[in-house]
Amino acid sequence: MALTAPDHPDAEAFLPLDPANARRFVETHAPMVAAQVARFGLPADVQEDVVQETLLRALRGLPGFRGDARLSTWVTTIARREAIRRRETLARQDRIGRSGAFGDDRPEPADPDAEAPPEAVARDERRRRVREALARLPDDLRLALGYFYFDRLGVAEIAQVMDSNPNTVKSWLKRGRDRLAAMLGPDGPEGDR
Amino acid sequence: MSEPRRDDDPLGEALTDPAVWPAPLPPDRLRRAAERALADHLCERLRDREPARTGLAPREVLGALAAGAAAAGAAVWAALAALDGAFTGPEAPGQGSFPGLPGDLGLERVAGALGAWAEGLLSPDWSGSWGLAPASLPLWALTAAVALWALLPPLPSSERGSRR
Repeated sequence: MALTAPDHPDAEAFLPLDPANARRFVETHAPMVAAQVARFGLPADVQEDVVQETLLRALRGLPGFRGDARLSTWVTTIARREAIRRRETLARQDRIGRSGAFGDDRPEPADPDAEAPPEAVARDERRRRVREALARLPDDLRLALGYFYFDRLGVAEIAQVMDSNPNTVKSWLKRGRDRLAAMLGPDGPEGDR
Repeated sequence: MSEPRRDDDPLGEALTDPAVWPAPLPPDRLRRAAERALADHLCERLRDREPARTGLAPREVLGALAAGAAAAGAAVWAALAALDGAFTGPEAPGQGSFPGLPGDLGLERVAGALGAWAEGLLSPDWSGSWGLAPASLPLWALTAAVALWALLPPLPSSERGSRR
């Protein structure tokens, strides 16, 4: 199984883990971690803590990383575990629901009455419909879809990240797509365009 | 079940659009989280390599204990040698003499025992004189251990964290 993608450096690229390499590691992986953590529906201050803790744990473990998985997959696994841990803590404190709030803090799309090109308005509308449908999916389906379509992980890698097996992941992906399609209607993400 | 494909239909294409997923942390908050992680990491590495600011580092504590044990062992050995009659006085052959010390106070015996112990340690022939020289073998070993402990460079600090 080829796990090394050219766009994701190996662990050796950051070793020895001197301050310069540690900074490079963080700069390389922080945006990916932030995007993944955002999908857990945590408050922004908690997301910030989770990103920090994920990067710190990855830095601690990097010299001992054996390369059984792609480095980015390994970091993704740490991020998921840390996000779940924090979400359960918040749920115990009744700050969010057990499955996460999956809030949408994106800015509202441009006012349709404003002078926006019709194409931009239609595109924003399509995105809004997909976003709302995603928010209604169960966690496992939504996370699997995110890892597959957004992070472009393979099925085996998603299984590793989500402590599952490839067949279950394929099932999550299929069910997630089917439910999204049902919610979006016969026109799919295009809506009534 | 085959591997699913991406971008092969409008839904798949829509799901590759970052705008349909929750927005990540804004750049300033992301930068702050990254800087904190880096700072924590560097602090941990420094803490691993430097002794604690208060008190002794574990290595120093063990070194001090070993040195203390060596000193205590030497003192006990010398005292026993002085008291058990193994040493018969400054006039005994090979033990040297201490003319400035009064023999009836016992100080001369102790001082003679210490001198003989040192002589026994330094003598290549442990079969000579007192027959107690082999007893200094543990002390030799302890002394050597303390010396090694002090002279060898510290081991590289081990990296903490999970291993996969």
